[in-house]
Amino acid sequence: MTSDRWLKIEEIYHAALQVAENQRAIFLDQACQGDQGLRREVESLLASDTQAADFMEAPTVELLARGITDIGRSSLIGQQLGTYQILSPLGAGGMGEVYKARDTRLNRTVAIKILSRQLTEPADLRQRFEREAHLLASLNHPNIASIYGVEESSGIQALVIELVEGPTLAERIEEGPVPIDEALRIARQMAEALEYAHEKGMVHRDLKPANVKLTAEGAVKVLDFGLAKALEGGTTTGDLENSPTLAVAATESGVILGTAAYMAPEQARGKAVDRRADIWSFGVVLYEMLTGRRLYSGATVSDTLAAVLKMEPDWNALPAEVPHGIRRLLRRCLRKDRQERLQAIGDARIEINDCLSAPAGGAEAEAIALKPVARGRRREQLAWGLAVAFLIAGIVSTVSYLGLARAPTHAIISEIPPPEKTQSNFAPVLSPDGRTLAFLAADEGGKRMLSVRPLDSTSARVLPGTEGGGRGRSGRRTAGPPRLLCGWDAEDH
Amino acid sequence: MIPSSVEVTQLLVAWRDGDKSAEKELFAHVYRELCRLAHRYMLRENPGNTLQSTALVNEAYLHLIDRKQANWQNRAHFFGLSAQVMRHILVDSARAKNYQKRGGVMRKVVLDEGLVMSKMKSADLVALDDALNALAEEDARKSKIVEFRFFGGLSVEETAEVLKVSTDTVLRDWRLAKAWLLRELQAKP
Repeated sequence: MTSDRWLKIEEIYHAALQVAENQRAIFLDQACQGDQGLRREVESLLASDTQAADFMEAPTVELLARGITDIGRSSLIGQQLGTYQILSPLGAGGMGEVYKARDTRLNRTVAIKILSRQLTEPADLRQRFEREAHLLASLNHPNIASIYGVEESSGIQALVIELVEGPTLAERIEEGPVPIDEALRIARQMAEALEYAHEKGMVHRDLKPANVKLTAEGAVKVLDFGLAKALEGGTTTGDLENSPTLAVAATESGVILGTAAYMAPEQARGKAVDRRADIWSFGVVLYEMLTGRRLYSGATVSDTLAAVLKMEPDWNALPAEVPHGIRRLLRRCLRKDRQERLQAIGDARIEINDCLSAPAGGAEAEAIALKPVARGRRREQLAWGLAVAFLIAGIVSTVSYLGLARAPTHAIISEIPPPEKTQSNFAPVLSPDGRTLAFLAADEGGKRMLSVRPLDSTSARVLPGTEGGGRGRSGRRTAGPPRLLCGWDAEDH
Repeated sequence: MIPSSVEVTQLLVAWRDGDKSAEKELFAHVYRELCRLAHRYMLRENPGNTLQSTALVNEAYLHLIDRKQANWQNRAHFFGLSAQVMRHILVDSARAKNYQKRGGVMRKVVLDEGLVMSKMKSADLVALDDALNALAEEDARKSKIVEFRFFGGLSVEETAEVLKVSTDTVLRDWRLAKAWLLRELQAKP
């Protein structure tokens, strides 16, 4: 019932909003004609209006999923599911519907993933899921969280999984970039897990930092192997599966936001997926570990997928200390065309092993600051001797110029070979931050190009787009302000 | 059993044309679908990620509604209905949570920070629901508008379409309703 009084309040309220604030008191006096109750009502609404600008402006959809899950969760704690007694939700807020439970028969704690009834309700889907789960249960590897079995009780279907205590890799990355050595050790174990499963013909399909657990002992456990496939087909009508729209295809396979960022391009296009999709995701995760930031991100699923399909990784975001071999590995893992991608994850494991067993944690040469020990060999030329001198001078002046060295610039490498198949007789110059060396190199045809090389790396690379030109480009790093590579006829952009 | 998208669309059109009996059935279908999607979402995601606004309803819509009839008016009505469903689910779960936390005594629920915008994070969903009911007694249309906009994520235009009023009316009502509700919520301890 809308009362006359309410209509009156509404009318005066809207009229008052049109009046300048310092005139409102006079306006209200007139409009309310001595009705103090009416005046107080309108005044309090006007007061509240000034605070209400943002109030309720974001819809509550975000709350929905959590609300629903909360209902399910709170009612399951303490309950018995077959031989399992549900103890507590796992993780802060719980990762999906996963609980810690006690296997009363074997007397051990396990993790239990409750599957939505709607997902497995149709009998054919349930059977399919069970088939997949049994297949996955055959995976037996120290770096893969084992699936113990499928449990069904009082209409609830659940997956019983090895309980892995410890943070996820996603949580670890939130704290910042993972040091190279540690990142490589984690990556090696991930690669070993994938290699084992791939040999058995199984693909993870949803490898991401949230699916990698780190135990206190330094071991890595990959979670949810192949679960994406097992749960596929939760679609009830199926008519969207042929949809050409990326976003729809992605959400239909149950992938929303977080996961899209790690999808291989072919996966984003909705094509059939093989082990090379895992290799892509592996590359994305390794990149994220080393840089501490997402390789592909977007405000929406479609933006993220568009970035996956089109955007080239920002290679400059990798820390300068990342060894050449790992950079090459990342490039190979992240080729959009899967024919051109690294074909076997075992190759990644070999590369990582090589880097880890190289002296000084991957950087093949590490020299002592301000003490140029020329470890160079016969072919070292005068120009390169000069280069070292330049370099030291550069560091000294940079450090003193900056007052405080913002980044550790302790590594000096005495041998500076130009990129493959090029020669260089030009004196190098140092970037203003003292971390990168730039110099001219020429290929066999005499074509000149600008090469850059992080000081504590052992190899130089050609700066794309400078081939054959006489003009350089400004180098832009992701962290901090843009830094110009000086001394090279630089052209600002 | 699972209805075909054509059946759901027929129900939606009937409801849009004023058939009240269609509403209940439609409500049940949408409820089921939203639960299914939300479950699946939670199954696969970390709590840190927020669900993209309206993505869930949009997904339900694409799934339940016959694409040949997926015009924007039907979409608006579907979203309007979803708003009711979501209010129902959210408030129910908030009430259940209250009840459990205090061994049966109703208590204010503080929503997780970051889930809703600044003003709402300390506010109480249950209290908002009560206030919305009180507002409905005073002015049903304003209460509906809040339900559509806040619980359903409907745009001003969509809200106007569902309620068959002008967008100006929606904007005026929305502004007053917000001020009114905020005042109500702040008046409570």
